[in-house]
Amino acid sequence: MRITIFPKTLIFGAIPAFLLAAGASGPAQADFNSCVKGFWPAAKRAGVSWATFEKATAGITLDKEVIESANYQPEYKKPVGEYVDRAISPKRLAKGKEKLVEYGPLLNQIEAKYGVDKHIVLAIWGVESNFGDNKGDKGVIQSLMTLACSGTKAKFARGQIVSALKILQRGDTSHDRMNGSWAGAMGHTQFIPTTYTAYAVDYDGDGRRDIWDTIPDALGSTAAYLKVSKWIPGQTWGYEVKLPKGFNPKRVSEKTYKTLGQWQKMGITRINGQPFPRANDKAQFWAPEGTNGPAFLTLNNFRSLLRYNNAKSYALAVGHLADRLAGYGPFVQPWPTGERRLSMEQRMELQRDLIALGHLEGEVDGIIGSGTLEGIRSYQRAKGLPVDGYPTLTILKMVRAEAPPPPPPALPVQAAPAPQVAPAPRAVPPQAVPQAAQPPQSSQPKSVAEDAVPPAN
Amino acid sequence: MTIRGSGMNSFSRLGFACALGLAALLGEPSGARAADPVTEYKKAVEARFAQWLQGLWPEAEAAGVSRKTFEAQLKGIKLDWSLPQLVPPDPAFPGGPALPAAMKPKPKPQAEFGVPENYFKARSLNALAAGGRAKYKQLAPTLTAIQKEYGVPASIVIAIWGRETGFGQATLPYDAVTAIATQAFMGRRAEEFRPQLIGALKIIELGHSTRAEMKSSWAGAMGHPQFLPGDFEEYAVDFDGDGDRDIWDSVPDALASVGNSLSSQGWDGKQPWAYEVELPKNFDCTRQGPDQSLPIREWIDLGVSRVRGRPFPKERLDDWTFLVLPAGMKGPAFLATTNFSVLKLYNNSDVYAIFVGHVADMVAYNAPVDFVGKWDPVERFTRDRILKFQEILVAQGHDVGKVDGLVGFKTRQTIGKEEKRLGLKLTCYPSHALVNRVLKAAQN
Repeated sequence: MRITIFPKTLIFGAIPAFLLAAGASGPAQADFNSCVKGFWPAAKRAGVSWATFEKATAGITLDKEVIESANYQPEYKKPVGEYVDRAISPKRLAKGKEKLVEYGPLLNQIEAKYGVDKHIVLAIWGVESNFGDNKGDKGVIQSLMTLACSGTKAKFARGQIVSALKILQRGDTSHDRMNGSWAGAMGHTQFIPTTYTAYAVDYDGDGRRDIWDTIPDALGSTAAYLKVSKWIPGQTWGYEVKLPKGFNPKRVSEKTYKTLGQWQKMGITRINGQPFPRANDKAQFWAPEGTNGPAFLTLNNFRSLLRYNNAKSYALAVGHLADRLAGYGPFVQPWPTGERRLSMEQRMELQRDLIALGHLEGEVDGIIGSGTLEGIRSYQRAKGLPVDGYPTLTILKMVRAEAPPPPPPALPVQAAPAPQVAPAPRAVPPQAVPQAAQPPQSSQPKSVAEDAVPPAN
Repeated sequence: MTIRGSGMNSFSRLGFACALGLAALLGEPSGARAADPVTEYKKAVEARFAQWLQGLWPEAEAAGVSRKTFEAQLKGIKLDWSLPQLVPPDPAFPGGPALPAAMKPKPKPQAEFGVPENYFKARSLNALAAGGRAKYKQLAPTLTAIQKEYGVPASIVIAIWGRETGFGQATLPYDAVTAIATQAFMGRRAEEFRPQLIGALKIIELGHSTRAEMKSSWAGAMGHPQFLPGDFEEYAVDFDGDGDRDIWDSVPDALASVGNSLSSQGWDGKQPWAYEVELPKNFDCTRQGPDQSLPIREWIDLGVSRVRGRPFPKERLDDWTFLVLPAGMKGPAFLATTNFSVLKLYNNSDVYAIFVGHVADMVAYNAPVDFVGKWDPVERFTRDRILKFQEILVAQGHDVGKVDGLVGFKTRQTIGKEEKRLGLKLTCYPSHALVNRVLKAAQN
């Protein structure tokens, strides 16, 4: 369970002046230290010992990378199709199939115990940390303290810190192993501390709930959490569907519940034309890209995935990756390309052209990251176009017309490396109740005149 | 210092505790004969206690206590059956005599949970502030030095001293080792007292104090600042320079130790303990509590203002504060700073922190009792009834914090949510209308 960065809903507080000071020393560090200390009362009340608190906070500094990540606003919202494609790259699919063999017996046991489809558990592992390759290597306490004391996502972090300290207090993992993403998502399945506290399990029975270094605990915890999120054993997450001619997806609210039978009466069928099993199950309709891409009817288990991480694109990626791992094929309807979405080849061509025109430096990888976006903006500025950094077909056509012709086709365009999947979107699930968080403090003055402090009234 | 018993008249807990102690005393028949079940039961429990004490040796040894000290201090000590908050074992040991009926806790239908209005009687605030002002003058050089050293206002240190032991006047009738050993053996919070017993032995081992000097409250809190042994170990300091950390007889040591404990636990000298505030009409009182902290500027955006039209200090607008409504919408409202949380480490009670903070302000600014919000009369409940109410709320999936018959912030939050759900007037404080409704609904 994770934190989704929804750019439009993120509220950026003013960054305190001390953060702008260079280096992690001097008054900035003093302010940070005193802010960190402000969490002691809440930690103590939660049963954290001074020894644990001191060890956990010793030597931590404001982590600028964390602040940068927290402040990063993607310039454009990635279309669902692009997100899903990236999450299910051929490389990941291959790796997942290997893991399915390697951890087959464990996954079977977990499925038997919690009633959650093993492919789903495996898919979550893949999407969250690329099967443990990308667990995040930032000290969780330092990341959370940085967020809590810097105004960026402070409310979220304040709710996590006491839970994180309790993990160390119980000894589920050690100080040097408790790492995670910049936002404190931890271990193989990227639980945030409050979720961990509520749902992680000690699957291997060694007395520790170790989602960092024990794969059985990590996968068991994922299944346990999905079970609590009301996963129904033996059911799928949803179906790709075929729409009747003339059907306008825009006229159907994504919130509407109908039974599969009722949807079927409206002419919607499974993509292979077969009727739905269990016609009485309640389903919601979702066509992420309108009539131009695949459309879905989503079931109860899709909502369980949303409880796990409240982003539909995430739930779809997990559900589809699970299906692929189970041997089913890709979506029948392709995702749209065009003005709003360039294909991999087109993205690479755009990058090549921007490089040729001197607006971009770096490698051609087909991944529209911040560098490419800045390159597009640079080009737009040079042309007097609206500067939005949006990689459209129009822009591609313009740079193509200007740039020198592409290099001879000997270059293995098709064999381009599968895009590394960006960290999955993260959502703070509504059920995560933050623990008490204490306000930050500023530095402790050596001498205090009583009048310096305002009275309560 | 989460398990302190105050030497002063402590809010609710002590009153409740006295009732218990009294009940235990009355339950004891005068002319005890050999066959008397009470005597027999106690004898069995005492034997068990002696055994239990011996079992502490490995822990004590690991903590650096010598066998000599261990034997000398624990040999022959008897349980103090008069202490409050005891849960005598029943039976005395597996297969042993059962707890005699005469000793069973009596139902206490009259035990009331504290009403904020009573806690903040002007008379007690004034008395303490007057005493505080006198001490402030008398001890000015020492207090200034303490304030300088620890960054904690002298007025706060004074207020705590007054609140805890009436500036050292309160009599502490119990032998700390006996009281703590009894609590650790069969107290309601036995687990918390066990390390304190080892701590008490360590104090004697290291010669910081003597058994005769170590008098305490029923809960083992010692000396002017009412420190438990663990507090002593962590926070006591020698301020008068005589080489001893003496919280029993040296006022400078005692007060500096209070300052050190607050400072070590995060007191921020740049912030007050809280700001009294006014809430806009129909404010949602479920937004109270430390889990809903916000920077001051965001509270301002929500329409919260300081009383008397004062502005918040400009340089403090980024401080995280949380709303404290000890009496729900029926009393003053406060935005509490990190210092409020530090005060609650001294004694885990909102009203305690407000009391101490307010007396400190009265001392520092030579002001009268000065709450702008009025402590309205609230409806009365027995603690048992609140307990039952809490149990039902928990069964329904609500979070009420500790199920203890007291109305903490989580219980107040949940009450607010229930009031909203049932369409009652939003108060975030228990009312008979709500409690009856919830209890009744649970019966059906």
